[in-house]
Amino acid sequence: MKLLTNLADAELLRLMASKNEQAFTVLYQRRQGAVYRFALQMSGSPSVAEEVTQEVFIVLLREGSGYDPARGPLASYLYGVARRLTWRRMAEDRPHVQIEDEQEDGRTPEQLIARSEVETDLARDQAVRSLRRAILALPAGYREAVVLCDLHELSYADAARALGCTVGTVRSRLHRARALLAERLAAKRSSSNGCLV
Amino acid sequence: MNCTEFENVVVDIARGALMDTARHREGLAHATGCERCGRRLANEQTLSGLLAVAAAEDAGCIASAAVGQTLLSAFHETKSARLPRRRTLWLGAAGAAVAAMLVVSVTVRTPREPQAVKVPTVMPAPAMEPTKVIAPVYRELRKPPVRTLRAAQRRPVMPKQQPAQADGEVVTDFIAVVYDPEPVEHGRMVRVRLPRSALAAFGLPMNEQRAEETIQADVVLGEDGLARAVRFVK
Repeated sequence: MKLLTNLADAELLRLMASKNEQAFTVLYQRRQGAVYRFALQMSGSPSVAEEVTQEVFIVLLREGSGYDPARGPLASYLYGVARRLTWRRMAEDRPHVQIEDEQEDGRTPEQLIARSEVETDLARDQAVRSLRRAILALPAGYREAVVLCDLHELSYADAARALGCTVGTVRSRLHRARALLAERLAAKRSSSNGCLV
Repeated sequence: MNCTEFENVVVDIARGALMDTARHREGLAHATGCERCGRRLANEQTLSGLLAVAAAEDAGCIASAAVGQTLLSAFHETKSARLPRRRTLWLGAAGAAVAAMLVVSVTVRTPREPQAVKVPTVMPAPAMEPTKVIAPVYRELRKPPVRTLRAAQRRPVMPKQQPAQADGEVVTDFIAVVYDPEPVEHGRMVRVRLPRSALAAFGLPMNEQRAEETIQADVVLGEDGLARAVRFVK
């Protein structure tokens, strides 16, 4: 197993195709976190994230031979599959999505203070929660750019491969997404009398 | 560097992205001298800091052990079911090829209404390369476009500019480019030429030997100018 952990994704995939269970396990452990977080950050739903993660690797099991290393890293391929499956799940679940209350996710101020005693930490926690809500409220194309480039720290080129678009498009979407986020956070900050940042 | 040029680099500077050293230095110098751009950079850096915190908080998030167990079971099933599955794929591919030929012949013989939006979903490539048929993927992609098409039917904004399906043209269903729960109420459709590799990007079969060639596509653009859906034309 130790030797396998040193292998590149493409090599693990090749071993996986020849029925090597350990290769599959190593590849899954290496890549499942990013896939899960992507689906979670795109959908805001842990259950969707779990299902998408499972489906992504099922696709890899069944269609892994369709992956071409010459067209980009496996991570970009997996993000691309996760993206498609997440869209589908979000479309299916849409009638059941509960509109989230603008209140701070149900926590009372006392609970918030207990969670982070230092005032600056509290302000930061609130700001991060507001940021998460603002990300989920972004149009999907912009949200993908923020999630991949800023939360997953992908390069513009890798994000472009995952999204199937050009680097210029990724840059443009990220720029507009960040402008929208800043706008929404500023509005939230002013409505909260400057206590968020 | 002026304020407009600064706007082009401010996000990269705040994110600490790789960029030309000279432009980075010029950008910082401009932000120091320009109060408005200085505030703009500070805001972007604050946003980058919050995003970094969010990313760090999420870093430990992984799927539950149950997912791993399910996948291991699926791995064993796939191993044992590999040969029959391949045969099924070949049969499916052959069936798809026959269906494609039938639909093409019906399409050619049937007079087409100019405004018809519902079109046959034909990909002739499988007839040549049956192993590249990815039928399940193609079916999966059909659901979102229907909503887009309904929107287009409700408001045919540019009937003259909408590329009419000339005789002999075969088109795919519309494929969503971005997930957008709201249907496109206002927008337009343009015909463009794309590299054939775009077919693969949407999970459709592509003849790799013709990857350098282009293919026609109709792209539905929303009011914001973003592409919402695309269909390929042959």
